[in-house]
Amino acid sequence: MKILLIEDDLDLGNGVRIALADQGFDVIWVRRKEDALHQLHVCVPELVLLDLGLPDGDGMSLMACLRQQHNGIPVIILTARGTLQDRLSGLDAGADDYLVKPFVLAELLARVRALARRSYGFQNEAIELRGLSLYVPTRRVTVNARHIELTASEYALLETLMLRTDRVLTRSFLEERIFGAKENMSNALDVHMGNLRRKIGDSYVRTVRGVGYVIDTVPIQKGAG
Amino acid sequence: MRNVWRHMRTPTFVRRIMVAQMLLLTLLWCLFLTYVLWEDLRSPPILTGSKTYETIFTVVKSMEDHPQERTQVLSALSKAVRENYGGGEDPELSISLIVRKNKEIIYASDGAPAGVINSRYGKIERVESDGRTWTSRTLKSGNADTEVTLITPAGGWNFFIYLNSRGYYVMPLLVCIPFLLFPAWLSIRIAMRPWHKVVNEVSLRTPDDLSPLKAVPKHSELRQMVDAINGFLARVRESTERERVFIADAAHELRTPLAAMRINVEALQSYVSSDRQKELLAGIIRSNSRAARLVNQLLLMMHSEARIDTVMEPLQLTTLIQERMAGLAPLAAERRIELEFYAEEEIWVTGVRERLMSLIDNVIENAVKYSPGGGRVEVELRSLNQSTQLRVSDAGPGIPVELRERVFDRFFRDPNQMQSGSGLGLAIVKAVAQQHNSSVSLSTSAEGGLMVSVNFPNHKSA
Repeated sequence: MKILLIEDDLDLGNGVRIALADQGFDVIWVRRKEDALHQLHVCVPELVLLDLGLPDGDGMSLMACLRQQHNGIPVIILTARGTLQDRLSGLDAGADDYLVKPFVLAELLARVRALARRSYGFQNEAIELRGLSLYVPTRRVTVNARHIELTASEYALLETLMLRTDRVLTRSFLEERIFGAKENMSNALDVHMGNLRRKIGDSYVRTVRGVGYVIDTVPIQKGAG
Repeated sequence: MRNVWRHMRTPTFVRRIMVAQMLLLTLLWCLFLTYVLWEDLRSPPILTGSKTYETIFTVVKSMEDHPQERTQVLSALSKAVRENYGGGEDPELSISLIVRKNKEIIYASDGAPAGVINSRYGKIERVESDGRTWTSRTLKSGNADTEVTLITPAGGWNFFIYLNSRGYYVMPLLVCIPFLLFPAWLSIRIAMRPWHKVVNEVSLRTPDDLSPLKAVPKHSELRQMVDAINGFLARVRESTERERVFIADAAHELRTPLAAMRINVEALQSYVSSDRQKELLAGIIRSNSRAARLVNQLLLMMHSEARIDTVMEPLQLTTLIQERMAGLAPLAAERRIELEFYAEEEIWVTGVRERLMSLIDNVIENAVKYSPGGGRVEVELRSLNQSTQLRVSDAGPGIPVELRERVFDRFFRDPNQMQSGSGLGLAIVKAVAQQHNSSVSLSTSAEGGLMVSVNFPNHKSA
């Protein structure tokens, strides 16, 4: 998978390039806005990592350029400015995700994979986790190759969680995703979650009490140690 | 008694103004008095008037045939004039009378300077006689044979005798002063009232509040002072703002090299095989995380203290806490700590979203950090009568009672605490809480760890 990295800092750029290359990504690294615009045409990346603080021209204007000419390419913004306002303006400009420096490699990889999956992976790839498989195009769910019949709400719940593994999704986020903005009973989410767990087994979805739910890629052993 | 004395000794403006006023009043009074008396002395009214002269002319004329009685009457008259003048019977201090008829002295007061003779009639003149100076005036009678001369001593020191005899000029001043003091004191107090308003506002200021004074008085003197204070406040504000911007910029600038360091070390990790090397790299990563955290905390601190007036808006606190807890869940999962949130309903508060976020993050992060592995962090949000309370409890070592005030200071850390930390977390929590008119308190949780309680004022729905 081709990633265009636009980062002016030598050490950071090089580090990210090597780290991503080690994970099997094909990284093109440029340090200036003109080169970035050139590379966008020449090699057509599948994902762009953009540093907002470029020396020759604001990263935000490059973002606008990207959105005008290459609408489909997902963009992750890297920035040293981390206030809510900065974040919102970055997302408003059309970025798909936002990472504040200094970031952890695992976080960068998770974001890159999630975006890649969202825009390209659905057609050919199943999301697979400890025997639980989810085929997005056909909405088919299997546990240890056994087909599971889910209602629309249950499927939506599972898909939402599976596409964002390791992130705790708050109750309000899930409710809005699954039931939409319409009024709903306060415990409807718990009812659906109870049904889902009964069907796929207890071991996948972890509850964070009072906060929400998460599917961990690596299960957490409670009380161990 | 001593207190009263000390009180008297401390200078006050009111007293200063009063003393100045009194002194000036007395001085003016004295000057005026001196002028009046001096003028009187130079040309005494008894000499300038003609009634005394005419009385004597009449006596001389009507008693021409009885020289004995005439002398008696003139002597009595002289005594009366002297008494009125106030100098006693001493001619050197008092007025004297000389009556001449056909240039012959027919009567002279006791000890009158006989050598005093006016060169012109009707004019007040200063005459030297017997080695002294006299003021005298002589008038002639209508048939021009009788001359009457009135003589007063003119020496400079006579003024004081004169003054002594005119005590009634000084009395009113002495009587007036007590009556003047009280109105003066009262009027000054009333006039100084706007001053107290300004003093009040300044004294109620917290050190964080550097906004200009709001009570701008109409009085020009006071306004000058308020303007000067406001100017000073503006300069202080500017310099702290500059300092803040500098720290924020420095923190920002540090972020990129920190990120570069981290990513390079993490990339390197997959190339090393020996445990020793891995351990060393892990050490670098830990230090890097600490530095990154410190930079973040510094930025939060600078933001939470920023004087830029941010808009307070109604916020769903329950949802906000849920979101922040979801964000902190990976950190908790890493330490195998169970996060739990208890809230009955959506609770609204008025606040600045971003700052409340840093408050919540810091309180919960602290709890997670100091909890033992596998422990539990309980977050509870509940609505009380007067306020909304957020309570975060952990099962960690807690904070000794004697340190519970100090941990809110910047960079203060519990000396017995082994966990690494920036020492800014609770300082940020306190700064944010203060901005939201909230209070933070520390106590011992049910599990023996620390419980942080933040009391938000109830949201007033419009």
